[in-house]
Amino acid sequence: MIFPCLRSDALLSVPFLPSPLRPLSGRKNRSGMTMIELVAALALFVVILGSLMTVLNTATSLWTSSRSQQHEQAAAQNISELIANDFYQAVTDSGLASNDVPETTRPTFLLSTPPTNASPDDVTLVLAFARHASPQTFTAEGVLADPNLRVSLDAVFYTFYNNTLFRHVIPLSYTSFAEPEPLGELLHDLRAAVENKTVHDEFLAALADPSQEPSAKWTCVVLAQRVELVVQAALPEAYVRKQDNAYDREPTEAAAGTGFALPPTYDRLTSDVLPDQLDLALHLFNEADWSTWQRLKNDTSDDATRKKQHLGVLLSKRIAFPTKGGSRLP
Amino acid sequence: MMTQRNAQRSLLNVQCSSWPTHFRTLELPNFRTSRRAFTLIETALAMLAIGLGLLALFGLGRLGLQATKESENDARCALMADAVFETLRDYNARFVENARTNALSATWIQQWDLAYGTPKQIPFPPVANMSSSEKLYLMFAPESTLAPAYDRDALSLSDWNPRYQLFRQNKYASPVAGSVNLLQFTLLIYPDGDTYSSDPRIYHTTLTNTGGL
Repeated sequence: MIFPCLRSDALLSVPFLPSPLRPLSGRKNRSGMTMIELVAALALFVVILGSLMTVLNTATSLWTSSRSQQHEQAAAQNISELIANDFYQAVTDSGLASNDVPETTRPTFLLSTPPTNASPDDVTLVLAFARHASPQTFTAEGVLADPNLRVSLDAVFYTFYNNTLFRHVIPLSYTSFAEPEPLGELLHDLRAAVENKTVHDEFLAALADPSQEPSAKWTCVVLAQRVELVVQAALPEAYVRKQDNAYDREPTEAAAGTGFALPPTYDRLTSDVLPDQLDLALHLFNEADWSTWQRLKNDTSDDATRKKQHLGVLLSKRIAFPTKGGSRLP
Repeated sequence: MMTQRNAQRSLLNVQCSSWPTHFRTLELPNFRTSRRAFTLIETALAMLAIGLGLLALFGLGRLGLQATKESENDARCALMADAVFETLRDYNARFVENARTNALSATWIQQWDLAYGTPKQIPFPPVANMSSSEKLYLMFAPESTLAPAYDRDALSLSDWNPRYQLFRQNKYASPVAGSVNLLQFTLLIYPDGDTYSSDPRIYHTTLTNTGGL
């Protein structure tokens, strides 16, 4: 026969055919694990799993922290670029030495670093100046400025309130072109409104709840919350208005070579000209870092100092004004 | 007597034969020796696999830390380069103004030559997270020299203390104006200071004598 295995008695001739219902003989002789072995294996498993979870947890927290730092870094970079961009377009209407200006006139450039011991309820006018106008800035009443009375300038104010940095932009307008007011007067007219504490509270409330509308209608942006900043400007002493209250201390002078001397640096000043350069330092925090910073802020121990260096994102920027004709190529 | 002994023996045999078979498991030495253990090769292979896995895990962690550090170095170097170039732009504006208004008898390029050739002329700008000192100046140097971006006498080890090279490219006179009105500066920053364990970051800027072309 060609296919003997297809014969009906072929299967019967197979000496042994394992049944699926019958355990294999090899299994019968194999013993199970003892309780000690099981417990040891479980303990080892738990230890390994615990180590892995710890590593995973650390990696996750590092990733979260890194992401938050990147966010703060980007925010700080954007803020410094925004301030620099405003400064590159800044203008004044006077080139005279400020010491010769009568006391009745108002300054066209104001700078003040928020004091470290400032109360959160104080509104600090960090920077105030005028810059070339943007066509779409709204007046304090929330409408576009009247083109017939519009000066081609915007007033720019940076304010600091409740550890938050604000930027206000308001178009400047003359009441009449017959008797145009000096730029300092125009800025001064807006100061009271911008330095109002209630206005800032309303902007913060609108940030938390978009359905609330602030009463002030000008363009205001909350740049950063939980921020500390230092602003310093270098300006020859002859241009600093010493009669103003802002001039309350001797400036610091950096050493430089012959013919390369830098003008003195101020962290509070008022003047009628723009400074030569401005140094800006921003320290931004996330919520967790901010609470730790507040706790350790006045602690001068080595441990606290070491911890403080790892809190938040610190960014500095030097802004040189191109008004003297220097190039701004990249 | 013999009969009684034989009877006892046979009783013992019966008892032995009637014992349940699982009592035999008490014969521990025989049981253990019959079980097959892992061979040395199996153990070695398992350890190799586990070792490789652990190495990969630690390598990944180290790679992550290194990437974070390099990213931080990128950000810091960019900050420093921005501050240095902004300082150069500020001085460039001053030199342009001096040359234009004849405040100094030197021309624009002569002022830059003085700044470039004489040490300790331009103060080093303040940069976040770096040691600051009033005795620190920008060092213009040929390509082979590395300058510290810190004052050795006012060094804080918890700050970032890099080294750098700042040099200008060859100056070319404009064929139209007949004088040099453009300078290109290159800044190399070595983020790890004296260890050089991280690649230098390279930045360029161009300064012009505006109006002098």
